[in-house]
Amino acid sequence: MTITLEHYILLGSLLFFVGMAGFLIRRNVFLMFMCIELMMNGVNICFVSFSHYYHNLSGQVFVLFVMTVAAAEAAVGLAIILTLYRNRETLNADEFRLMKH
Amino acid sequence: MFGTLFFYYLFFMILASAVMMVTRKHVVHSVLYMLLMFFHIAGLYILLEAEFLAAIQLIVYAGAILVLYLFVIMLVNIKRVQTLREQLFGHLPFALVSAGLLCAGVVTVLARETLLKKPPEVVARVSTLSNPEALGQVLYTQYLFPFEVASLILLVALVGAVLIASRKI
Repeated sequence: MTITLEHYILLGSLLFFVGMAGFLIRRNVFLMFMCIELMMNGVNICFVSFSHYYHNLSGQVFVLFVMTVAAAEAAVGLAIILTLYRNRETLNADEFRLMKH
Repeated sequence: MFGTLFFYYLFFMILASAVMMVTRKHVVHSVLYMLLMFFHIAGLYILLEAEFLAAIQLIVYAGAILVLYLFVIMLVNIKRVQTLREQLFGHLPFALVSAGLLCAGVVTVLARETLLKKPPEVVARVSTLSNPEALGQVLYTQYLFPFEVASLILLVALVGAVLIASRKI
């Protein structure tokens, strides 16, 4: 039994859904950020597998760009988390509700 | 045969470490499971003949981003985080229903349709070049402008991170 494109897409989408469920379930801001990385990795797997099966390198270039954005997002997001923690002394996302009402 | 076994090993390990990462109570444990997952994803890239991306995955994700996470976790007071009453399963039904519905949709489509009806002709692949060389040729010709935009994004993120983290708000 050979591995087809669908296997990789299935793996990528399952990874995306694990990340999505984790983002919705967990209330720790760190965990929510890591779940975003998880979702990006699921998408990356899909990109690379399409690139492999269609013999087109554009997918791999896209993965490079996704990694760039992930690095930028991690830097800015962690700076925001640090500032939030300094001001609010908590990491629970449910307690950050300044803009709720 | 070996490739098939290797794929199923990677499939299982990636999903298992992702689930473990999401469900750990302590954040440092989650980061370590995430490291395990990144290593296995790099293995998957090698299986997909994207060697350059496998190296970049290890260097950028495992080497830079995870270390950044660990540094910030060390900067916040971990004892207070541990005693934090974390509502682990407060939003569980909503999350499981929405993720499960999307997952069911994708699995149905994947089971019913074949994505690759007929493989297109080999056009963009330069077979005599190695993967980093071919990737560099595509990146610096066809995708030169997005590449410059990416460098600008990194610069903005650098300045923004320093500004946000240093200023007393």
